[in-house]
Amino acid sequence: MIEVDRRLCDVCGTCVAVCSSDAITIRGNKLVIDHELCVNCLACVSVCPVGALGEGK
Amino acid sequence: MNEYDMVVIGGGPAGSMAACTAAENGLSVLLVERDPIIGHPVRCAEGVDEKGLCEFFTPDPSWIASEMTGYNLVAPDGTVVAMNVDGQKGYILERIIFDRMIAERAAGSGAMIKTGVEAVSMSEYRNGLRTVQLRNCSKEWSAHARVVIAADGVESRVARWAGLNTTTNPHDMETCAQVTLSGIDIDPNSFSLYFTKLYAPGGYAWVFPKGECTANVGLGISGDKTNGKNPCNYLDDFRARYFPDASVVARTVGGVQCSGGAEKIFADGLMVCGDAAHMANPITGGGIINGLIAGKIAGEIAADALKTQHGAIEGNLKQFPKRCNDRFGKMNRRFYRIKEGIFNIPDYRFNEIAHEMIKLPIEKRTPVRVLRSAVFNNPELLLLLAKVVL
Ligand SMILES: Cc1cc2nc3c(=O)[nH]c(=O)nc-3n(C[C@H](O)[C@H](O)[C@H](O)COP(=O)(O)OP(=O)(O)OC[C@H]3O[C@@H](n4cnc5c(N)ncnc54)[C@H](O)[C@@H]3O)c2cc1C
Ligand code: SF4
Ligand code: SF4
Repeated sequence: MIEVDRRLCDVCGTCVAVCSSDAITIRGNKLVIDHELCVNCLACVSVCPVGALGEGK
Repeated sequence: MNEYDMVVIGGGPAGSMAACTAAENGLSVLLVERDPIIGHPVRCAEGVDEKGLCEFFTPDPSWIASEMTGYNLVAPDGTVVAMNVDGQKGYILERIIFDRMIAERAAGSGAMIKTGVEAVSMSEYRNGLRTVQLRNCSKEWSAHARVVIAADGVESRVARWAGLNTTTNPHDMETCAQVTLSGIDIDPNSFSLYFTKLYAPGGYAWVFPKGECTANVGLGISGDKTNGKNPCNYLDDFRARYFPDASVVARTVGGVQCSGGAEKIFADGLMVCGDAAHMANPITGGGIINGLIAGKIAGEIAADALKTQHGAIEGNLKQFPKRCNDRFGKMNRRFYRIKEGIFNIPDYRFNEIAHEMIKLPIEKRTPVRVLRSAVFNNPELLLLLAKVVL
């Protein structure tokens, strides 16, 4: 399960752009991951500039 | 109620330029920006070329941080090659003020700008309208538009709501980190680009001066070449090598699509502008000017369509990709083809090229010359380059 570490996340939107399942949304300046849609492809993890995303982080 | 000719989603350069152009041509326009302040946070190195900028604005000291009259390429071993700029100039902007200036122009022409408002969904195109669901911290409501401009930047979700595929492959995403450093010893009128796999695999590092001793210092790497490190880690290493004692006055991170262009950039009642349509130059990652160009084209097309044939905008939108292609799209696709070649040049080869270049008089140190040396014994790349130049 992909989780975001909110202390690190800068809400830059880079992960949103690479998620082909449309599982990541920015709402009210917070990143929200829809685990029902996520297919665990890890694309978001590889592009995050601050390393805020990870499995079960 | 709440019906507009145009609703623009995103208040960056692309969105504000679309709003401004449409409003100047008499359309009713609503622009919504999710962030509470237009232009903030700045996720950009803020460099533009003079020619590109001056097509739209006369440079103004209130939003120009510095003027660039030279640039350097820096090889992996630290060799600095001052390049021939051939009379061209560049500027480093103060984007927080620049972006607001464009939004203010749009407002001055009659567009309604709302910050702190995000678009959360969009309907299909029905009876000549799209309905955009909007939200702020306290309420949700909808606005109807004859045409929607998707200028939501890197996320590019609005286009996806309309069924367009704007998802980026991680390989084509340049993921970036930048600090604004102060107290550094630089030439305030020359920017520098550093090509090395050590600090920026699949990308490059930059130093863009913003004054006597201050500069935007950052790097971008390809999203699939991170090797277990993120851009912030790479930037720490880069700073330790080149600017170990500098003060950090700002930090930012962000991504820019370097795919050469999204497949389809319009749909019924929708045009996609700027980063949302992957319009940045795929080698440099520069997207401000192309965003302005596309925003202006979109504004003109919408005004033309809605004023001459009220409601019948569908057919006119087909011009949008054509006109964008002619201005920068074709070139971006060509750049994309040589990008791989450039970013795959091994570090030792870059060093050799730099050593050759510094022996030449500065007039001969042109990008074409660098590329020619780079592809000299690489027939595959030579072929690609020939295709690009031809
Ligand atoms: C580190 C870095 C350095 C760069 N350096 C340069 C450079 O030196 N020169 C250059 O030309 N380009 C540079 N770029 C690229 C440049 O920043 C972009 O190309 C440019 O900002 C694109 O403009 P835009 O209007 O398309 O999008 P943006 O400027 O990103 O604006 C999009 C806006 O939409 C808003 N938004 C998103 N979703 C919603 C929603 N649902 N509802 C409401 N609002 C929404 C966002 O908050 C944002 O303000 C750089 C990029 C990065 C990441
Ligand atoms: S890429 Fe990283 S920092 Fe940017 S929004 Fe996603 S999780 Fe946050
Ligand atoms: S792992 Fe893949 S599907 Fe899941 S949120 Fe990240 S990019 Fe989307």
